[in-house]
Amino acid sequence: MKFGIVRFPGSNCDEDAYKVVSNLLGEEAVYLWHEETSLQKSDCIILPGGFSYGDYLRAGAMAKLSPIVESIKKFAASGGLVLGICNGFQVLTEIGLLPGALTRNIHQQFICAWQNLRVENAKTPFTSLYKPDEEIRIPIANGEGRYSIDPKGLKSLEQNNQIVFRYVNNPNGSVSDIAGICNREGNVLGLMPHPERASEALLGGTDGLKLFKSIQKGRFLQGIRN
Amino acid sequence: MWRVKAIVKLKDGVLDVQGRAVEAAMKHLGYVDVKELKIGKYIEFLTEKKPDEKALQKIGEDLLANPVIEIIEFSVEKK
Repeated sequence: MKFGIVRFPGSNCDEDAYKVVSNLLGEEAVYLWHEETSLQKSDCIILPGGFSYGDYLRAGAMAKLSPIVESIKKFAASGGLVLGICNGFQVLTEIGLLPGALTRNIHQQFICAWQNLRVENAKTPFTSLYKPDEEIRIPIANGEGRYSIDPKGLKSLEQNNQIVFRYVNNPNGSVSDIAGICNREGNVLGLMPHPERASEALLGGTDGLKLFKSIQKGRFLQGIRN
Repeated sequence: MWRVKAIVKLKDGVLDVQGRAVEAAMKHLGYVDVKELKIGKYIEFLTEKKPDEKALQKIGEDLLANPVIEIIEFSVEKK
């Protein structure tokens, strides 16, 4: 299985994602520079955390004009797996692959802390190894992580089981305690917490590794079916 | 030459945490008669031709503002 990790100017969690994929999953990882248009036949695209374009204008706003984004949109439309972590989640909302927006944390503070999350939907390709309602520990590190969406949009997310992770103790004022959502089809996931920073015991926890292993397992089963 | 000025504001109903903090600070300094302080962004650029209103709205929605949470207002003046 091949993971493509997109690098924008200002991405800074790209190497963490690369190491999880290559060292811990034992799968192939390639970096995709944002000015490229080829996804190099990746099976899963990761938009890593960081501060693409220095968060100028709005977090994730400038990244949407990068040439690789059109390829990612096509890939997602054809059912390809896309995972956006932190700034990657912000980019996914800006490019319209996920609804809503990420706004300034309610207390205006940058929060870097471990969070308890509840797995609200364990049926996505990213969460199949978690138990429904399982509580997991994954850190966040952001200043603009407060998920916002209008009441109609929130209802739609709830009706379609698109809320994948919720904070147990909401750290930033996110609507409905939302920490991560997927698209209707379930093949695009965005979350503010950093699962790649919770993939090795040395880093303080391994609950995030199951997310990457879920992707790997799904692909393996798909291979058997095909 | 034409000068385009744009103001980006949060939509009504979207919590303006910066505005709220600055309003509290103003009150703390004694300016107690302050309400609904909002913080937005100001963007300015020049164009050779008089810009088309539709084109401005499009660049506003495509890049300068996020229509999910923001509104953008343009004004155009001859330089």
